[in-house]
Amino acid sequence: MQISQALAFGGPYRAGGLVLAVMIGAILGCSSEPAKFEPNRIAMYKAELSLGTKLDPTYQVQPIEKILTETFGTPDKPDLSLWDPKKLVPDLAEERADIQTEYDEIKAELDKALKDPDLDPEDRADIEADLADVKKDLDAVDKQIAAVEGLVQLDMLQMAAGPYGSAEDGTPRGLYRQHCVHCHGITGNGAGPTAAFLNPYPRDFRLGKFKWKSTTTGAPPTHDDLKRVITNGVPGTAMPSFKLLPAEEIEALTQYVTYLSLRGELERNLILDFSDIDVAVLKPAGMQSEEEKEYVESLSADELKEEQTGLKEELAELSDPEIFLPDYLAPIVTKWAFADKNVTDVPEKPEVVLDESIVHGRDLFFKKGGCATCHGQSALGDGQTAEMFYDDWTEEYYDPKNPEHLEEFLALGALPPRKLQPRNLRLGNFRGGRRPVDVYWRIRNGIEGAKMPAAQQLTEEEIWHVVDFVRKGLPYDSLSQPPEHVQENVRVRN
Amino acid sequence: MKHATIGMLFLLFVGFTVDQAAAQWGTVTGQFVVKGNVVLLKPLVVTKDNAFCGNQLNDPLLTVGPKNELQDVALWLYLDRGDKAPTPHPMYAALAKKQVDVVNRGCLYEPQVALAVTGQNVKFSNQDPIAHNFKVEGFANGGLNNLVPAAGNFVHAFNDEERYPMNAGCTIHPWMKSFIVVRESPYMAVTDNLGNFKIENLPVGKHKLQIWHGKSGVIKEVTLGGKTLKDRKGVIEINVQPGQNNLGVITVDAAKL
Repeated sequence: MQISQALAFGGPYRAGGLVLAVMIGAILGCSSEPAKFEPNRIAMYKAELSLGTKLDPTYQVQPIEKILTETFGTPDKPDLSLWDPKKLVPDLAEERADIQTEYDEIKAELDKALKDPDLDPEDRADIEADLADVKKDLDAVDKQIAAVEGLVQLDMLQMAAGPYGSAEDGTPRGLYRQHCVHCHGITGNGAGPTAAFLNPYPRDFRLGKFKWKSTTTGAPPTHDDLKRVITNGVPGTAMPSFKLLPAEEIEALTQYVTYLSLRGELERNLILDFSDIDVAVLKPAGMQSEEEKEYVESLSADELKEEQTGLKEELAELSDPEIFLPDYLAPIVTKWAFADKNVTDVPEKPEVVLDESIVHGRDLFFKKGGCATCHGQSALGDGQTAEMFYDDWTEEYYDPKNPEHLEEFLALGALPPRKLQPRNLRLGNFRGGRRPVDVYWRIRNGIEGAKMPAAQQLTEEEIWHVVDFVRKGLPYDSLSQPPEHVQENVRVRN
Repeated sequence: MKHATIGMLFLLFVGFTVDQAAAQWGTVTGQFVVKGNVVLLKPLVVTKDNAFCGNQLNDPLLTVGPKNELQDVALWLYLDRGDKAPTPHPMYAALAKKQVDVVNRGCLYEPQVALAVTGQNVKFSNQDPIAHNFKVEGFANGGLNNLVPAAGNFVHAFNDEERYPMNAGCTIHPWMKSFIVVRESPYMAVTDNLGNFKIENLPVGKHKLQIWHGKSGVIKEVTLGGKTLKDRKGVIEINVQPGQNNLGVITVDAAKL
């Protein structure tokens, strides 16, 4: 990266650029360290705070990293070799095998019958109908398995992963590092080099939570939801549109974001479970807390040995793919693969006179909808004055009621907390998209990770009224009353 | 005729086992008391809807009785990894069908700590004349954030066990916070305004209970029967005898809260 920048000096400075490049190369060494996924130190520290002791590097931190590498590979080389549908969705795989057996039997029956010259056409039709039924079941199960297998595909991930460039056959490589990494970071932790300068901060994928989606609160986004955000960008934020990329590259990036989210979620769950195991008896003396030390000293040599053996077995079990694939990865993967099930259907927008709909919408905005409580009486987003108003990504490490550990989290790479602002609806700018359906989803489902609640109390028709009011019934500030610019007399000021 | 006899025998058999089992249950009671000076929390500052909510509210996160009895301590059956929960007493089948109520009243939650088994219906209702919302953050369960207008309600069931209580809060009124314990096993309790709790009909034998309070998280140190018990996960072991098992006063050091 640095070398190519140095060369860009060009022209009369080319030689200087080359010298500089060689110098940088000499200082850094020609082969830099391969990219690594950062461990989720914030989640680990949070676990340590609640436990009152440090996590053990050998028995807790390293096994988590090992599992993650086995399951996902590295930023340069994604690896899905453990992703076997038989382990991830054993029920489906079994069901498929059963239906396949049934299908083969009927098929054999049919083949046999067809050899019979006196075959009754009606019998033949019956068997064929049976076969068609079973085939339908088979297709249905196949479709579900395909959803699991298609969630992230190795060839797609390879396009997005690794350093920027292209493969021998010309397919792109390193799309994520080309387009995303400077904001979202190698690990997808939303803490890339530019993150601190952006407002809002880039999304941290590791919670698996996304705002601009069609599914209900608590459910992951669908593949199409993520793709829409990558394609259109997020208006009013630093997230640009990638509409000009070829469809295949957008697909690769969508899958890579999914991949990083799944990895992040698995990591958080593993941290939770590994930190829950009390490894005091295995910790080197210097690492133990007072409490742990006291406990270990209270054990006899035999007891200590017995506990150590038992604990090692337990830890080995957790690190076994036969255990962690079905117990930890499978629930996350199925949740994502079948996200479509949680999509909120949007009924057709009823034919209404717009002005009337806006009047209804305004009424709902102030009364039944409760929108004005946060978005403000004039929809400028100034209704919420509370201090304790932070999004879920911030609340991962910042508790406004107990801010005493903030400095430590910041030292671990957390970004300084910023208060959440209810949206100013008079900018004509909607981050999740301004199509009626986008606004409908926001109102019906609320906004994941933010404070916006789901308006489950409103009927479909009422939501459409609010949509009309928000989109068409509010004056846009730039059009209504642009603030007058008064030339400042610099000399007078100074 | 033959069937009838078999049926009768079967009934007798069932009756016998139930009867036999009845002797094998024990009910555990106890009382949590804080030792030392309880420093009450600063009142919550109301930043919104003051006309209805007032300007200040007592913080329900830490409530003690007249003699420092500790309210809202939650206890639940703790299982080591791989252990299976005992089959619950038949009385719990009916209880699981009952609805758990979480109510917004006076810009606070009632109760402060609600208990539900997985799949049990929880009814969130708003008895205030202003809109509230329930934002519930689960770890195993997907999140939830529904607006509940004045006098409105909604029902939701949490299907996955949560290792620790979920936070439930109102985002419109951010001082409003409460907790929901969701466990697969119905053996759990929360202490009342006099610090008392009761877990009915545990199978006789050794069990582990995890002790938790909203202020401290798991309670890592308690004194029970003159003995100080320390555990970083707040787990105590009890031996349940048939009938009543009163653990007596369990003290928690004020400094540890």
